[in-house]
Amino acid sequence: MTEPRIDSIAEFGRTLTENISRVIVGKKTEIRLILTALLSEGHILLEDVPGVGKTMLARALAKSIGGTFSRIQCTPDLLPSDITGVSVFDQKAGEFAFHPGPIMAQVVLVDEINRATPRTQASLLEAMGEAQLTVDGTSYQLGPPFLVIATQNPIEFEGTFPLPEAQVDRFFMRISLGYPTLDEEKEILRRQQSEKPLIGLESCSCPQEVVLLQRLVRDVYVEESIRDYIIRLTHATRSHRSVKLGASPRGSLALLRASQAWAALEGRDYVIPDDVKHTAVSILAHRLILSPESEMRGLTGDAVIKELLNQVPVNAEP
Amino acid sequence: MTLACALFSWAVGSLLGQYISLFYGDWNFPVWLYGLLFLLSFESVFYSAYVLSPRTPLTWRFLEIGLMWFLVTICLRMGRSFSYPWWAVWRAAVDKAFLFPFGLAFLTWSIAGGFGQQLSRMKRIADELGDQAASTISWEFESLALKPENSSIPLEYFLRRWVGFAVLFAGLAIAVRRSGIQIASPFLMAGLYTLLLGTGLVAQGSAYLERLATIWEQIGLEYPRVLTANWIRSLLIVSLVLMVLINVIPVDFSPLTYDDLVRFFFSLLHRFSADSPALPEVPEEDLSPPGGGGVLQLPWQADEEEPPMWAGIIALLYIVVFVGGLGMAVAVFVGFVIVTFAQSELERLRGLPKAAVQFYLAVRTAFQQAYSFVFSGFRSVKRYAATKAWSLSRSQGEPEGVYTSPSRRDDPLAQDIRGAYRQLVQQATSIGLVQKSSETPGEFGRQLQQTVPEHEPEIADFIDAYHLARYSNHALDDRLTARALSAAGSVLSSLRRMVRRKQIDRTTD
Repeated sequence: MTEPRIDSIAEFGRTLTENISRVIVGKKTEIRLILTALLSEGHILLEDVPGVGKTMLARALAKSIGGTFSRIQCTPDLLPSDITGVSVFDQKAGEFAFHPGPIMAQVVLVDEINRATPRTQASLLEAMGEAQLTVDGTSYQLGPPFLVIATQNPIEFEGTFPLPEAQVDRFFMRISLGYPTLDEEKEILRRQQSEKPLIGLESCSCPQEVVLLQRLVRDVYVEESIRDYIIRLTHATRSHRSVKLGASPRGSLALLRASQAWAALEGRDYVIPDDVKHTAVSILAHRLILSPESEMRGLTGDAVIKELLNQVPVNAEP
Repeated sequence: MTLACALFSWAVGSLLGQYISLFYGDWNFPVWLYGLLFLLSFESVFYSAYVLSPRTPLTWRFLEIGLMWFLVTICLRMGRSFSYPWWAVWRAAVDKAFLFPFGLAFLTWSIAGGFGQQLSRMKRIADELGDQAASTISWEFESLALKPENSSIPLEYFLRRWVGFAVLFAGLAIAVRRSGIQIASPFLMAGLYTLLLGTGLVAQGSAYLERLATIWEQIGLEYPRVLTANWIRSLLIVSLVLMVLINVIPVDFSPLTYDDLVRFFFSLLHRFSADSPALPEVPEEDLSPPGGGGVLQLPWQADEEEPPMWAGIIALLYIVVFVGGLGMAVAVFVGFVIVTFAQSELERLRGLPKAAVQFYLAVRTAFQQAYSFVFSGFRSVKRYAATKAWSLSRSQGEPEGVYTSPSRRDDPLAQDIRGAYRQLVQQATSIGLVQKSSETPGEFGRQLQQTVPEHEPEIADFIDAYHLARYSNHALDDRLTARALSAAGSVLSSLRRMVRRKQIDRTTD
């Protein structure tokens, strides 16, 4: 495969968006954000009410990039070995043979992740952080590309285990799909009246291309003032009156990567402040831990980041 | 155009002075008066065109006349002295040695002022047409552009002045030729005539061209630059032909008779003189050229010779620098004090304080413009050096499109675009569109597009170029920079128009 140019990322984004749009009606921004995460080698937490297309979106993405796909349906009795795989003694060979779990795929959908126990959730930590898995002292490389798309329902609390901070921080971005509009819903009904659109969906890329583009995104130029702006934003989350725990340096890094990917998807090989603003809420909001009184007031991480985006100076021209 | 109008006014004043001295032998046109008329015509036309506004207090115009009076007196006194003290102004008012220079100075100043006001009016019309063109459909704009009050008046004004003075001086020339008066310096007269006709043609033609260019710009057509060259060529040909005609053609066909003209001028000019001869019986020798036996001498002429021309010019420069400089310094200082300490109360000022503030602001703007002119020259040199360095580095095999100079701040093209962005922000602030510190250039651009929707594509282009200049590591090329700066220029001029309209609305309210 020839070395792609930065323009090919924008073309890749357009093609993939078009392909996914055959299944998902509307939600262009959310699709763009998911592609941003994919190109930034990050993992996605889809947080929304049931039935808005979270699972379908993840599957459409996996199909579109033509990678291997697996799905983990989380329940309280799910064990870590159900995710990672297990070594079983092979009597004929006289040794333990490793049977890989569903995590050994390029796109992994972890459905209703907050229904799994913390122990099971923790088994995903290494996989998500290092893109590798260690079972019985043996490390297995995951991907590339390796993308975890986890979904969770923010409304139900009974029988759920909220994700620990360390786990949440490992998610590159959190996206809410939201309900479709009236016209979009009408279109969904029309499309799915006779057949499931996912069945006819074909891949329009390949994992190798994704890996090449991921490498290319890192070359997107970031001017000094943009880095300063990102740092000012994350620092502002740490000193905000309603925030108990602000965004970590991993948050800054994620915001930088996301801005690079967003710029590349726009067809630019340099980042502008608008790229940072477009991605900041999805990247930073889930990393904040709000103070109890703020939560009682109904304040959300999204609102805090939006407020900060309206306060922190961009410093375009001195 | 301003230059042409000033020279035209100067030629009118000087020619008229020459004819007065020809017809009225008692008075010689002093050399220093050329300089004074030159100075006054320039001052008046530039002041009226660029500074004077309907809200300028009348006191300021009186001050100008006072200054004129003062300058004429000083010049006469420095030549030699009057026989009466400074404060005896009523005696000067009936002294032809003072009255002729002052009358000519006032006339030149008035003519030049009229031209300046018309030039300023043409600019206003261009602005109005620009506003209308942006907000009306084409046929409405056409009808508006062709309305008499928007089209003909400045053009007619120029034409009337040009033709009127040409006819007046043609009549005077005929009268002089028929009377047999010897012209002491025919080359000077011919030069002044040529200047009068040439500058009149230039002013008239430029006014027409400017109006044409204004309309074309507003209806989005590109103005063909070759038209200007054609116009200048035709102008030169017409001027040459006219000059030849004036100097060659016989003038005996004139309906004006020698007796009529001479009687009229003698009755007019000798009215102010105590020792005027009887009107109809003017002796033949009184019409002899200046310097002849019948010429009346000024008091100082009886003793010594008239000072040379350079002495008059130096004296005039000295007066201008000293008196004008002192007056300007005082006005600027008063204006500075008022602006600094009265700030929000400026709108309430009237009379001389207001004039001082206007003067201070004009001087400040002039200094700013001079500074930016010098700075732009410096930047041009720097840009040339940077471009050379860039082309050198490319020839040495640097990767194409990647910026190679040590810092983005050193790129003069990027600095130009960033400077234009700062100007846009500044201008937008004055119409109430304040850029918040948390706003990105893209967000600012979108707001600006909502404010001036007719410039939506230009703003988008410019903001893209600004992003490239500010946040990318690409080398900018001249064409992209020129396009971006031109886009910013058109948006800026629209914003300036909005500011002016806002000021006018505020005044009307």
